Amino acid sequence: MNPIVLLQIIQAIVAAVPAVKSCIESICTQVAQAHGLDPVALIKQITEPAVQAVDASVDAEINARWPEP
Amino acid sequence: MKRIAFLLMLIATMLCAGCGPSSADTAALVARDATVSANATATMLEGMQSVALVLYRAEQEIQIQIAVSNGEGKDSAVHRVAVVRKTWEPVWDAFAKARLSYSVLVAVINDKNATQAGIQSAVTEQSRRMTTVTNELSIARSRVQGGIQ
Repeated sequence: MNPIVLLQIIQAIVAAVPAVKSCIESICTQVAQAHGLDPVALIKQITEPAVQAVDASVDAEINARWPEP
Repeated sequence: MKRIAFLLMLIATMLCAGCGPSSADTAALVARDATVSANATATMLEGMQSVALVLYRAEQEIQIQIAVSNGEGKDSAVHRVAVVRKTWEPVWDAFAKARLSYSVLVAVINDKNATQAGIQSAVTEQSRRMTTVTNELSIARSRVQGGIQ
C-alpha cells in the first residue's frame, strides 16, 4: 500500500476515534524503531491533523475577510 | 553464653532481612509507579494539547484582528499568521517528543525483561519531556494573554 495513503487512513482513524491515538502512537514508535525512521517525525504526522484543522479554519477566515477580487 | 549471643545475632539478622521490601517487591513498586506516571501523562497530554490548540487559534485570531484594525491587506494578514505558526513549531515538537517518551515508557513497562533502572530512566525522560511541554505552553499562554490585554 502507498505509505501516504496509509498515513491518511491512520490520520482519519485518529481523528474519528481519539481514544486510539495513544495505541497508534505506540505502534508508530515501534515501527519507526524497527525501520530506522524518526519516531518524533512519525508521531508529529499523526498529531498534526488537529493543527492543520486550526490552520485551515484560520485560512478560511482570512479568505472570507479579504475575498479575491 | 557465646551460643546465646550467636542465636540472638541470627534472629536479628533474620528480622533485618524481613524488614525492607524484597527485590521482587521493589520491582513491582517501580513498575506500578511507572504505570501511574504513564497514565497520568496520557491524560495530561490530551488536556494540554487541547489548551495548546485553543491558544494557537487565539494567537492567529489576534493577528488577524490587528491586521483588520490597522487597515492592512490580505498579504500582511497571511504574513502575520505565518509568523505565529512558525513561533508554535517548538511547541508541537515538544508535544511530539513527549508523546514519544510516553510510548517508550509504555513499551518498557510491558517489557518483561526491563530492568528497574530502565523503567526509572524512561520515567525520568518522560518527566523531562513533560516539563518542556509545560514550559513551552506557559510561554505561549503568556504571549497570547499579552496579545489580548
